[in-house]
Amino acid sequence: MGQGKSQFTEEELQDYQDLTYFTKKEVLYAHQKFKALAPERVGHNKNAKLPMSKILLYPELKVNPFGDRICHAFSSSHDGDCTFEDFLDMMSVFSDAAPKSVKAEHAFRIFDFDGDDMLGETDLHQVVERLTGSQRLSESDMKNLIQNILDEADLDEDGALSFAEFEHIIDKSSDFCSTFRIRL
Amino acid sequence: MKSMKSRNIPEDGVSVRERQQVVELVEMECLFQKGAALKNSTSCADARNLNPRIMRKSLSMEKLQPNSHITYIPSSDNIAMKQLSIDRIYFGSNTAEVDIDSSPEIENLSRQTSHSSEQSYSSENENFENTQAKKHPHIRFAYSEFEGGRYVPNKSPSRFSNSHSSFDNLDDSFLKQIDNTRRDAVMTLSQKREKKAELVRKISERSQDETIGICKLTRYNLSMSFQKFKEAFGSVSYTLELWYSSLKLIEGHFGSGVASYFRFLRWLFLLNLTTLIISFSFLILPQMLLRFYLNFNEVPEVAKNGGTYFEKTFFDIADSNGTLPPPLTAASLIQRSNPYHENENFSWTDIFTGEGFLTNTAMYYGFYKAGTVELFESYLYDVPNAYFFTMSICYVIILIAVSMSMASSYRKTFIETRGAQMGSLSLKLFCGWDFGIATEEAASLNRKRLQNEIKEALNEIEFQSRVSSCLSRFTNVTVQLALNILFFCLMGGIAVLMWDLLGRHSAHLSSKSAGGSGNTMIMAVITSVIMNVLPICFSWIVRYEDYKNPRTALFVTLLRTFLLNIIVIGTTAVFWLTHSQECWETALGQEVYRLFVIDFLISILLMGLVETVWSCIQRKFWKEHGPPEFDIAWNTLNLIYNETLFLVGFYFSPWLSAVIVIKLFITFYIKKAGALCNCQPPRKSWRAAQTHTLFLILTFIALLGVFLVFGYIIFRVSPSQCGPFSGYSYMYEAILNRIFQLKKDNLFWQAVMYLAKPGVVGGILIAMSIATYILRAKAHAHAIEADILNNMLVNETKDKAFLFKYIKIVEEMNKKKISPAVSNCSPFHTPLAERRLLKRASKERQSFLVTPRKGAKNLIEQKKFHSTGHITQTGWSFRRPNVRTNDSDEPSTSSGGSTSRTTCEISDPER
Repeated sequence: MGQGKSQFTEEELQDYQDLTYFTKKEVLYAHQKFKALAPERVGHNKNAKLPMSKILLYPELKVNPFGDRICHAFSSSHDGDCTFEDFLDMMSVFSDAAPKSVKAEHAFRIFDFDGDDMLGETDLHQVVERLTGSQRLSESDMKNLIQNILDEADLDEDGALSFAEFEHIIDKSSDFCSTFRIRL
Repeated sequence: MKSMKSRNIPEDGVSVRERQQVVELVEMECLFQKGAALKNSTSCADARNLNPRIMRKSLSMEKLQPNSHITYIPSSDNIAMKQLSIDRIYFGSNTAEVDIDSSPEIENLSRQTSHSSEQSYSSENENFENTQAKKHPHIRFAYSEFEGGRYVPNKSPSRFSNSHSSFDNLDDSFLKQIDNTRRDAVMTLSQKREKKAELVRKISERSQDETIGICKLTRYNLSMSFQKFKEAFGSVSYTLELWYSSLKLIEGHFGSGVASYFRFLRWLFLLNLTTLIISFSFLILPQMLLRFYLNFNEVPEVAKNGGTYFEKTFFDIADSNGTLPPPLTAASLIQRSNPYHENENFSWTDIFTGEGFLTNTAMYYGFYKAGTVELFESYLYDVPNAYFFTMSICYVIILIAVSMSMASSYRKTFIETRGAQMGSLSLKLFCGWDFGIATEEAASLNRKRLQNEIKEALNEIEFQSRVSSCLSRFTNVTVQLALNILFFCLMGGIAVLMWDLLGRHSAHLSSKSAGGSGNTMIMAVITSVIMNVLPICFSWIVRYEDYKNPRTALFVTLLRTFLLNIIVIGTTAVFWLTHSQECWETALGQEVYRLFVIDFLISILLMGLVETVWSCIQRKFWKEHGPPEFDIAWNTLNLIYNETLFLVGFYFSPWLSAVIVIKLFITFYIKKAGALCNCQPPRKSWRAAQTHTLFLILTFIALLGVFLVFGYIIFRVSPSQCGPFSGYSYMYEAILNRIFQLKKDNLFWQAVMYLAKPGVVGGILIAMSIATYILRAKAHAHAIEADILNNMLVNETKDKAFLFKYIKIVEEMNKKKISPAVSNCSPFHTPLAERRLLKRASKERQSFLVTPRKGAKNLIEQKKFHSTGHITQTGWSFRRPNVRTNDSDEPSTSSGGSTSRTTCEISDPER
């Protein structure tokens, strides 16, 4: 990419370090990764906005069934396109250092397809569908599954999971932090 | 004090930091007022309990009536939620941005703050030192001022000055904390940046003419440089993270389960590397130096002195047994020019047998002499001391590392996530996808796995409701029993076989017949073959035992393999301990070394080769079957076996730490290559965290066993005539007498002798068991208490939600001016949305008050609490409506009607 020198000033790096869970070095490394997604654009504008399709070239996001949802959740313009800062934010949340609660908040937003701050039946349906992909569950299994999930997790019995209920599930999981993680 | 004051306080008397804190606080306060305005009737302190998301929602809700309650649903049994810190509310609620400049009221407030602060400043400065010491998380501290009611800024300046004084114990950690809270906030990065920039700008605008005192300045500088150091260290350690890219690659291919094996390997590698460094620098190096030192420095000089030479570098042990070491003649000194002249000639088989040339090297216990080494001019280095302390430090380090990581892992997986089974399905859904996966192949496998698991779980739920027949249960138990008996017989057989083999080997050793290395190796080879073949049999056997839960099956297999490990290692150790011969310590060390090397050859190299060939065959001929899976359990147990061997052998063979480090290093690369080329990710999910804890626990148990063996060796087995502790009847005598320089009649010595009596030991053991029992009972009681609190919390939540719905309905009705009576007679006059609302509410109420949900056991328990009137305990009381249960076929009508007939009274005790 031609440039040995960093595109960032010390202050910017300090800023990023303060606002994310990364050290300066990791920020730079993240930028390299970001640049690799679309070298021609990021080359002259370090904070260029990349369309979602470009962001989804990132290997972990590419195979992730929720790749587009992740982009949406982190995009500052809410259309899935991400600037470097959005990307950095994403990586910071997915890093090891991010606490469980932060990860849980973002996971909730990723799973909340219709954006009503509740995980309703349609959301759950979509989640299951995306998770299993081509290996579909039968319709009755699906119904059964969603019913069971609501039975065990929907504490206030309003037919949908609120964030508090979602967080409650996540709190019980020892594996969440290790699975909800993308290594830079 | 005065000068500081004048410097610190410019015209308006507020320093930068205080200003910023005031700004922050005012922002928060504003938010609280907004929140409190919405939930007029509850006290401000209650706002703390709000979930930020709900808070945010409620803030953005305009429709809420001024006197309505905000429903809040805390994460029911997560009590920590209650302590939700105020900063999270502030930063978490990005929809309720507060513009500081535009609000004159706040501007006013902050000015007020400035004045009041001036009044209180001197007293603050006096308090400065002691408040510093407290270092409370400042925000919570400041917040305490707001507790117990709403805080009205211009009413009580004294009050505010109070709160202001609390600012001063906010030091530099403050900025960091602000950064942290901002980092945790759910905003996009750009929003966070703006926020930060805004705050920084505000502060700098207002405080251009301010200076800070030298004291503060140095403090800031110091803490900043510490901060910088920490950051620098962070980035360095990031670069140094061992095998980072390899781990990432593996994680991308196989997911976190397989990566956990490699992470465990890395952890062991680093741990053993530490022991290697310690043992090498404090034990091996001095002893080796002695050999060379004697050869190159001493010989010519001593030869000049006239032929006889008392080994002055060796410790004079005359006082312990009355004999001096034999004087050395010139001839023997000349022989010494080759440091290894006493050793047998080196042959390549020695690498595998650990005998021959290697016997008399720093490799083994027997080489270390009971003497002092004069390393430099008049600097004595006592070898037994060194041996004892180095070894104990190494073992203590291992003990600490293992137990700490076990404790933290156990806490994370079993205590903090207590009751994980409850949400198993939802966990599969929300934590099912491994976000670290980066290849298409792994992703499709993951999909398949998830689908299988979900189906299995659904089947299991159905299965659980069914009761298996008596006969099938009987056959099941019989089969399990029979196989277990078979297993124990097998273990016994293996122990006998090993004993026999060891006996032959020892006979061969004592007779010194020239049998070659074949006889020596046979025991190690057979053991290693057993160690590699039997686990496969175990995992095969367990299929026939038909355990209900696949996890039980896995644990049973793991446990059996672990038992096999213990038996193999235990037999070896016991044999050499009971057949004490000349230098049995060295012999034991050699045995362990052989097991080590052969295990490496068979389980790493040979099995790797077999795996490769097998996967090639499978790829060619059974394409539909796919390559073999990476067996995490077996591989990890092999690591544990190695580590246990190391722990047993390390004491008798310090160089073993180097051997294990090399072995682990090579293993990592071989396994990595093998996994990437030959294996596919496991089809079954691997609960990485839980199994990792199990592995750590197994390691810990092995370590404890090793300590027991050492305890036995130290107190009950007499050391042989070689090694650092020769000349004493028991090792502990050497330790006490020699190392701690204690005489027999010493008080401490007597105390130890007294403690070593069987009766005392038994008493201590009983006391410890009682203590453990009491603690256990206490923990159990706490668990029950936590359960009760959890349930109360859930119920409270439900109560509030329930009440809120009622109030909402009543309000809606009032607003629409539809009298309940009207809605009662003609339900279809109400708009559809409202009818839906009513219907839901009525359903809710019924399910809440009348019908417990099927299958929800805990709901019934909640009912118990409910009926015992815990509601009043939580500060709420309401009269339950008279509900008619028989009108459920007309939901909207009934709910409208029942609402009109209900007296629903809410009283907040705090109001």
